[in-house]
Amino acid sequence: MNEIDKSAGTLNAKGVPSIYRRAARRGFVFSVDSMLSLLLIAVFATSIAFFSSQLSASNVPLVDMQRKAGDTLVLLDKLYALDSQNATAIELSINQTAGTGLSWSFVAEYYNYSVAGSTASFTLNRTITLGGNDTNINNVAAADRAFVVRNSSTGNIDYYGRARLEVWTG
Amino acid sequence: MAEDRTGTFRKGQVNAIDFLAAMIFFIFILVFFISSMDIQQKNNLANLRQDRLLAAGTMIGDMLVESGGVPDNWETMSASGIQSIGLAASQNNLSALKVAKFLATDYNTTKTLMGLPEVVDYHFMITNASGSVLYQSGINSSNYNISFLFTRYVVWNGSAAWMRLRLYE
Repeated sequence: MNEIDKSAGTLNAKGVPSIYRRAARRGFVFSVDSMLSLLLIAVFATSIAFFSSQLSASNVPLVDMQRKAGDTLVLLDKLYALDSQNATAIELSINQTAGTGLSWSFVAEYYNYSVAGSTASFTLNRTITLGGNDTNINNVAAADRAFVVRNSSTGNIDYYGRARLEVWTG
Repeated sequence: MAEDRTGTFRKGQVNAIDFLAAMIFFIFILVFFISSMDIQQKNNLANLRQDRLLAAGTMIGDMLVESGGVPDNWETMSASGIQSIGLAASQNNLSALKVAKFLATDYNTTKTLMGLPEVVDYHFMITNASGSVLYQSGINSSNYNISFLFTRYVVWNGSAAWMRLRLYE
């Protein structure tokens, strides 16, 4: 007992060394410490997991969809589907290309070009709208293409046009 | 050390059990955390490899269907004079001569010219709109870890056709 008195302090009225009182308090402090540290670890681990999952998100599928939309417009232009202004032919071509496995919407506008004095102007002649509705869709890829419609006999430009194709999954 | 009424030294034992329990719990959490991080890191590396392959496929697709290659008359040259391969006579309109030269060129040479690393292989196809194979080259293996098929819509001999490039490793 003399040895304890030297290292851990004095005895109380009941003869219990003061070290036990300190030990009991230290146990309580340890519990709060451990809870705080566990909370901290949980927050740290959750934030690491969250940011790691964010890192793995990729935009590449959207790029691929955009290429498909662009290619489809090029084909519509080069195979004269846009020139024909035939909505059925355009829809069939899109369904064979970008429309395979993707939802889509298409708009083509045909403009007349005129010059009056020193003023040149474009006047909307016709609009072709096809496909679905992209409202409330988040991941949409789109491509645009400007084109001209030439007169098959004279070779002159009948219309200036622009086309837009949007594609999305689902 | 404090001796209790039974004559044993309890203070040291109580603290040791506390410490042991806390240590076991801490080690359990640490092992769980490290293994979770390890799995997450492996997933991220796998995703990174996939993204690299996807990006390479997209860029090679662009190169093949939108450019005529460097130099522009590469199809008339020997392999040593070719800097990059392109199959387009104009945008998305494939040149029969360039496609023929591409199909006839050695596999490893075309792989190098497309900038593909050693571990990546490719299979190239041109199909018509109904899916019939018109031309193909490369290695069509079923033994791979990652594989992606890139489809580009092209004009071939005045008709719509599909250029398909499969990259795998």
